[in-house]
Amino acid sequence: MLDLIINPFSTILLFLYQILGGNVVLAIVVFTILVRAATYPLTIKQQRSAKAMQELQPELAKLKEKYKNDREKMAQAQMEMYRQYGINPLAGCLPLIVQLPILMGLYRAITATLAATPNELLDLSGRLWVPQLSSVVPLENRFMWLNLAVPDPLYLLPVLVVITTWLSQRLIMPPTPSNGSGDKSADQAAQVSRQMMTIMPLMFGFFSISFASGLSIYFIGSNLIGIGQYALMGKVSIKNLLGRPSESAPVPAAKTTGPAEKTKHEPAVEAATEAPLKPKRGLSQPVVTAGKNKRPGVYDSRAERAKAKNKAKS
Amino acid sequence: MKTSRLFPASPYTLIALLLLVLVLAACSGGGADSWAGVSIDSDTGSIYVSYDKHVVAINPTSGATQWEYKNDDAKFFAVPVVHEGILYIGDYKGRLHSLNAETGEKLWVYAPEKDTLIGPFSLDAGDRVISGVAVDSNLVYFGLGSRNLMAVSRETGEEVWTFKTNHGVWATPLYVKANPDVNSVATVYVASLDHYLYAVNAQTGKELWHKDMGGAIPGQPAYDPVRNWLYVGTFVSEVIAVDLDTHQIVDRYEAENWVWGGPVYEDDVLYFGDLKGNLYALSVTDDGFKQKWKKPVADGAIRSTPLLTEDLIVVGSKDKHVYALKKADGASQWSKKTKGEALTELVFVSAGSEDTDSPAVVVAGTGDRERLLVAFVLATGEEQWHYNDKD
Repeated sequence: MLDLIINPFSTILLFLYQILGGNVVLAIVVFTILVRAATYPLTIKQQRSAKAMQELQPELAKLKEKYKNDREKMAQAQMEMYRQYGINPLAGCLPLIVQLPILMGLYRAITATLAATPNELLDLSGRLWVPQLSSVVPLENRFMWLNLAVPDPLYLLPVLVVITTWLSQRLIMPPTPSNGSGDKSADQAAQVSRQMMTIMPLMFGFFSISFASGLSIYFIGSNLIGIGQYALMGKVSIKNLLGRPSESAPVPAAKTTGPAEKTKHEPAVEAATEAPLKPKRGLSQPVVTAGKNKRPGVYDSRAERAKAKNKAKS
Repeated sequence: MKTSRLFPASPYTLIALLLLVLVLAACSGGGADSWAGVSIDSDTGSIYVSYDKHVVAINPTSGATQWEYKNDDAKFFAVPVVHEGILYIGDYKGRLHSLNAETGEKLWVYAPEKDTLIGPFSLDAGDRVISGVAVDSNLVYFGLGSRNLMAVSRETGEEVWTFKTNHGVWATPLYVKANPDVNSVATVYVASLDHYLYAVNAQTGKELWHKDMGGAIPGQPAYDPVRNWLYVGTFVSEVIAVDLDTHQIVDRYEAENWVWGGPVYEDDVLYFGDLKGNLYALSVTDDGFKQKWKKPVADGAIRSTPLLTEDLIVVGSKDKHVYALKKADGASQWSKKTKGEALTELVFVSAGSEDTDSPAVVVAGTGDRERLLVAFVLATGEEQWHYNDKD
């Protein structure tokens, strides 16, 4: 099954290496860009779904409070809410799961073409869709001081992997504050989220120390390209770096928004600024995000659908 | 009540992330398993197997362990080579170990010097040894996995010279003695993954000449003393004959897939396998190659150099089988299943005296530690003994 991914990836990587003048780092970077571009629809879908789930949090919290002693009813009400707003609660992580085999394929393609181990190189022979590309196997393994088939002896790449992974997480994902509401699950989620922010960069740093430095080039390239990609989508917030809530995270952003920025917001969010704990919308009201429809290329029809539904009801 | 869980806080997302970590750990480290390297001391008949982090000497008739040598921090991919009672083997940290072949006692270990930058930090990433060694009266020659050929003193293990290549040397170097008749010096032939076949002065380490083969050369060249030709297999699925007098390519034969294991030459016939599982026999004339026979033998790669006996050609395959065919026409004699992948060279153990009543066997190294070595009776393919590395 994984061969369906590894084989074309290995072929494409070798092809890029050949047409890019035998520059292996350039080939890996261009390869990463191509993969990012190919998975762009998934990224968008993940973003939208995550956003929608985020916006429903106040309503979910209310449901939890209301049905705190009846888990079954709570679950039913939750599902009803998801149904009403046209949200699939799994949609946020499904794209991530879909990307797992893609990532695995990438790693295998890079390590095999770099001849990181004899076993991996042995497997490569049956993977190439264009047999003529055998002439560039294995890829040149020398880049600056690095031997790309083995870990970086200076530990510079692992450090860069940790920094860029951390940066991309901080810039792309808004901080997850404990809401202080006493909602245990929300607090736990916030705690786990913070732990993951620490664990993931260290984990990738560990991979970088342990495996071929060609992989580290991919990690770093992927992180930087990811930051660039999210920046183009308007999802990167420098404020996240400082641990401040982001504008792209609507509710916490409302707490810190200055007057000049307020004018950009929808009334519903402004109301949230003044009375953050007070519910703004009932279940029958659509969720409207600050500036959502103003963002070029991003249009969420759910709010429109919910509005139309409410109109029809009234 | 407000939370700003974008995506890390979702339990599904956390599961996915943890899955990613596990998967990466599994698939990145999976390829690091070594394969068993097997060789035999033609003087004593002892069999030596290197696997994971140890080397074991085994009695060829019973399969009993004679001694074991453990390397603490690096695996062995290379095949052990025994020469005049000394065993040489390179490890996956670029070191070369010299052992007493009779007792397993360590004589010396060569470790490449590293220039440190600051404290323990070095610009040199270190290297690994995947090739076997070639030995002459003074020096031991071996390739490094990422680049270069090394020559160290047989006595002391001190580095004598380094010959630079532009990629790894996974093929065991070939040492050819000086020939006063043609005024040639002792030469080490080095096949590299950088596509070049190099001829290097064995004493000085200076390059004599090189030739582009058009693809990486992972296996040891075969020498034809009759014509003074060399044969190499490449990753562009070719077997190439090179005239050592003119340094020119004489002929090329196109196989169906990569040729990893070096070809073997005997009586004007060249035998080799490819990674698609085919075995080939080429007649060699002064004009070049002519296909004698070609057989689709295995369902998996044939990586190693074939073993030739009096009548048979025997190979192991990634498909977990060992195959024996008639040398004359490639007709199948027997095939036997091994539990693990049989990727390395097989060794031949001749029949014992009438007293011991032990038949001639071929010994295959496999990737399964419970049956790391399996000895098959040459005539029938019946299993004679196996060596369990887990005992």
